[in-house]
Amino acid sequence: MKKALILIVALFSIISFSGISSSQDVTQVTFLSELDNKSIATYGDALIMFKLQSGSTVSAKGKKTSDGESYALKGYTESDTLTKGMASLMTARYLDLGGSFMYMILDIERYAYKACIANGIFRADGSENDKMSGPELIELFSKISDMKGGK
Amino acid sequence: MKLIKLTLAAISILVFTAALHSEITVIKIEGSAAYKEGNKWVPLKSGQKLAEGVKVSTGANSYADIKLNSKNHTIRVKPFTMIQVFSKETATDTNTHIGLKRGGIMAKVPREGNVKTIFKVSSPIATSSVRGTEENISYGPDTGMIIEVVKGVVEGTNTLGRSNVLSGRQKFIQMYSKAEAFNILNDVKNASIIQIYGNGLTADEIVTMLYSDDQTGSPGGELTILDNQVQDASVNLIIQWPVP
Repeated sequence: MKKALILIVALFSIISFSGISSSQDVTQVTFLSELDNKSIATYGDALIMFKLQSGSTVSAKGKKTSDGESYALKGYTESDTLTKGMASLMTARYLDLGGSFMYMILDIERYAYKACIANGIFRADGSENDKMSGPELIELFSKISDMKGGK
Repeated sequence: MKLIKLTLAAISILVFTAALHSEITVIKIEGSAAYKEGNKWVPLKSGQKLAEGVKVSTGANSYADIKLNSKNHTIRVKPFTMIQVFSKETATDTNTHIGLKRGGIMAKVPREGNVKTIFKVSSPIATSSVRGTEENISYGPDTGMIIEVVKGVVEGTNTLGRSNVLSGRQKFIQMYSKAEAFNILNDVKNASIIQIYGNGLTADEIVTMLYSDDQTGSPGGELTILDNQVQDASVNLIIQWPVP
């Protein structure tokens, strides 16, 4: 009995000190690396990025979005090309953005984009119809992470 | 005889090269962070030693603290970041070069008396050089390279060789399409001054009134307030310089 207890404690210590205990999601890093090489990002890519930011894993890809995921947009499929307007609306909902009176009245892509400009997320010299690349989508999430109080 | 000389030369080169490379060590990991081994991403572990030229990447809500040499030069690799690290050191100097492919890092480079320090962070469009400082650096295709000083002095140089020396609240912002970085006080100005129009209305308020007829939203409401919006205004400012 004593031997078994010592064995369990030793195993636990080895696992803790080797850093294996904190489960790391390497598929996430691989996904980001692939996204980084995409010249055009899709709505599905954006959905996955929001899920990752919310603490989910890449394996959530393709799964139906739940009611709690306010950033999900209606009328798009996962293969649709992502525009700055779509990403803005998802971001504005996720971060509950202020900064644009019109967005507070109308929850649409055009005003969400203006709210994102007001909050320094996008530059003012673009359009909500601009297509987004993979690196641009990752950059958007670096900013979201900062605004969420990233480390 | 020739063989002995050759062997001795090879050993000397090996010993000398080994002395040049710094020990790159992972101090702390939170969330998902990995390094590239061949074509595969492998999870990082606390206390792990990394090879010169290693690529490190972090995921969402993740970070990695990495010690770059024995002089306690450290970086925090922020979420969604990918970097490549080169670090060399001898007893009298350190030479660190970080390639920032995307995302952001926070660098701490404490000054040490007679050690010559070269610490550079490069993105495809600019480079930051620091000596005894703390700085935040980020890079992305939309906003370009941003260098913020936390403590000390930093120099930002774009690919055309145009540079700015930064301290305090100054910020280096270099975008892809521009030959020069923005004015280093642009950010301070934007945070302090907002554009207002006649009657103290902001652009948003004017748009709202145009869409809804007036502030109360009643049809055919009062709109004369929107006349002559662009006016000259006089502002009195008292500028106080901090006492050194």
